[in-house]
Amino acid sequence: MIEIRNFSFRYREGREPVVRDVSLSIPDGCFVGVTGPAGSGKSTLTYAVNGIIPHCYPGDFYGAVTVDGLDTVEASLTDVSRLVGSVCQDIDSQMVNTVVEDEILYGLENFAVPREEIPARVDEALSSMGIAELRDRTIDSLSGGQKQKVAVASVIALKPRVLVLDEPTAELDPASSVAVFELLARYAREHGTTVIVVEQKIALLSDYADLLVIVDGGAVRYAGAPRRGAGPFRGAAGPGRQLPAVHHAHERAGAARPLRRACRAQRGPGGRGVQGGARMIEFKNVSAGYGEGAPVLRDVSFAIADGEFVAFVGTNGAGKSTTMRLANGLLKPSAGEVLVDGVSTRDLKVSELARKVGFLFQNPDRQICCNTVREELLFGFKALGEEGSAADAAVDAMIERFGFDPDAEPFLLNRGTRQLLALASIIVLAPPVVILDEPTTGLDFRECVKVMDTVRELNEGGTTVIMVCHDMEVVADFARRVIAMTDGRVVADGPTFEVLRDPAALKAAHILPPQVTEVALILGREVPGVPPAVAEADTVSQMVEALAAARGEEAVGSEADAPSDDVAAVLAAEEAAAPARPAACAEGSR
Amino acid sequence: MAKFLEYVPGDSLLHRMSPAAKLVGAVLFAVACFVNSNLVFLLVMLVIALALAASCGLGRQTAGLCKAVLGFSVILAVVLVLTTPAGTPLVPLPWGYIGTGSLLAALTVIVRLMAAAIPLFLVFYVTRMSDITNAAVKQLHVPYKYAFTFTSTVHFIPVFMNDMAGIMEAQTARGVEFDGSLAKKLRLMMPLCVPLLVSSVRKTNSAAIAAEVRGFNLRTRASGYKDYPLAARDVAALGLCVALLGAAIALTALGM
Repeated sequence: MIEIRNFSFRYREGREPVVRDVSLSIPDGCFVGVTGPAGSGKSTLTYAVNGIIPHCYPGDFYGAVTVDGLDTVEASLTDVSRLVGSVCQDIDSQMVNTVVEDEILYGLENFAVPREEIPARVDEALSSMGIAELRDRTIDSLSGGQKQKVAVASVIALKPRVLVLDEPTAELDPASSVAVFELLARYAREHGTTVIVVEQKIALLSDYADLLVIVDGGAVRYAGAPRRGAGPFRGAAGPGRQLPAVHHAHERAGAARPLRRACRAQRGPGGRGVQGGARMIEFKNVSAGYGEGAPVLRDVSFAIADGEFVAFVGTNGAGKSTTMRLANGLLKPSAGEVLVDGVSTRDLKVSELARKVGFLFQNPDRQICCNTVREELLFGFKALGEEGSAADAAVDAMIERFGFDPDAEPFLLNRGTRQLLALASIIVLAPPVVILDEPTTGLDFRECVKVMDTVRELNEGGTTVIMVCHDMEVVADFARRVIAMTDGRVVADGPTFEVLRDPAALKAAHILPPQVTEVALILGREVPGVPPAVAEADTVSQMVEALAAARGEEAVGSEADAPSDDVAAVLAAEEAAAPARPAACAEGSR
Repeated sequence: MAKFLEYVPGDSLLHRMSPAAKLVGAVLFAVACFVNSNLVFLLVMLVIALALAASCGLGRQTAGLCKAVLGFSVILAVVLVLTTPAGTPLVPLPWGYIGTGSLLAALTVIVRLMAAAIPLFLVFYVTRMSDITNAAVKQLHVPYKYAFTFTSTVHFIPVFMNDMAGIMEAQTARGVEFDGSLAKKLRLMMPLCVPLLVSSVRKTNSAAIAAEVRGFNLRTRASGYKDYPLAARDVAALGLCVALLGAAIALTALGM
């Protein structure tokens, strides 16, 4: 039993408390999902449970947090750790060993688990996470999903009463994310462990959490059961069964506008310039790899025309990032040819490539290196030797457009703003092609919309956009063409909705379709009387109306309109916080 | 791909040896290289070191290592050549001369550094990090905090190198050309220390927290689950290293 009573916390460096007067009771064995925008205080809330505050990050702690009666402030961090196991966000630095088995042993050794118990504990932890075969592997050789499972296994080996995880799926592809949640939920059920997980993927949370906690502005805005299986969708087959409620939430939060646009674009003749434009990036039978290892990419061919918006999808390790490195010449192919605007990357200088292809890396902190925002924006011009009044004017325009403080220190900005700054420092050079590697990872919904709106405007202005993205909602909302990859090969290439609707392509690339496509598929498959056209992914409201008509139920309509639970209220609050949100999809299409 | 100083799984003789024996053996070997300046002896030591590397299939890593050590020792060698006037004069210098002795001394430095460094580095490639830490704590009585700090530092080297490579890649994509003269490269890399420092501090901080919530402070000498008994091969290897050290001392004492 976890009791949080009137908890407030202000970090020593901070001026304002990040969490204010939060009270929450979490019963034993509960699976708790905590979500909310970046900087909302959701991580701080979990730090209070696992003792990281005030023991590692000092500050003003008000109220009380107890775990099974143990006060997390009065007890030492070590004593709290006996009850509460924690998996940190940065998995790579959490690992203290080089081999999986040693990593599992580490905590067991420290907490002086009797020797005769240790082998069974290690076996159990590994098999609970489904990674028994990884026992002797070096951690370095594992994929992101496998590392995450090792991190969880190393903590559950200690048999904690409570397990706290901070964004465990932030860098995982959808299939690995589901796998991690599935294993976690099963373990928790079998052992009666309380799980508290901070997560941005609200769809995952509503699938697995018993208790959903939405934090915003340091306060709990909602704590209750996530809405599951609403109305007519209940019992619909497959992983889509809990989707409509989630989708409704998305819709209310404003995802409807780009979604509708994507739907409409899909009905058109395949978007602007897909076939006709000049070839900006062309791969001709490209193979490539790193060092002496096996090639990561094998015989890949495709062409991307001027003005396209293409998303590359597939699991971690499928070769997407390698493809991006090839496309901007950071990596040269071992066989075949990569052409940028008709010229082989082998014949282009670094500066020429940087002029043609802008590259936004997944981690903005690898890119940001200057002392002020203005310098950062000017950096690209400096590197290319193009300083001057034109450069200054372009930088000023960027500052104006994004509302940056030109004298702010980049590293002190929050994650979303750093990502925007990194993006701005690329597009200030106005390259004809922009490549984005996981542009929305680690961003909350509002930041994600801000970054992606910028990208869309860029594309509408004629820039070719190529992105790698795990978030199929973002892919469905923004990209017009999808290239799916598996094991270094292209397994599907076509207009977004065609690929995302194609079961064979989805299976081959190990991806789950976005909610809107799933809803469309379920409707087309499950509901008699619904014309097949619905499956062509019209607007969601039309589909729901069609369903209502087919079923003769008004439940659907009332369900969709009534803010029938607090999730909707919270999201309405979020809507108010971001006033530029368009009206919900349902209103727009009537 | 194996990274710098990171464990490479295997079952060679060196892999199977007790970690403490490997550590002590490597140190004895390195000391032997330093107490003696006989070039022939040092060349023999280098050959032994290379044979050890080959025996556990780490030729590629060792070649990389040799290159790095060579780069470093060449600087020392150049200083030596210019400042040690010995042997038959070959090139006159305003402050002395470069002689055959100077060249010999420079060559000795290069061979010595390589021969001494290879076994020490090999220990990290053929031993799991936790085994080094635990054996050092259990058998060599090194306090756990020191042993952990040391192995963690080594563990973080490839992490930081990876970060640096990522940062350089990001800057290359913005048009910074790193290939060029060394001076130019250094000038371009200086500003990149900022992001590297920021990420390093973040990483070490979260690593410390992660260790602490898994009972770091409770750890004692007896905590380690595995034991590392000395086998016959360990004793033999240690005996061999002692013999090499003895030979080095004897040769020095004999003035050879």
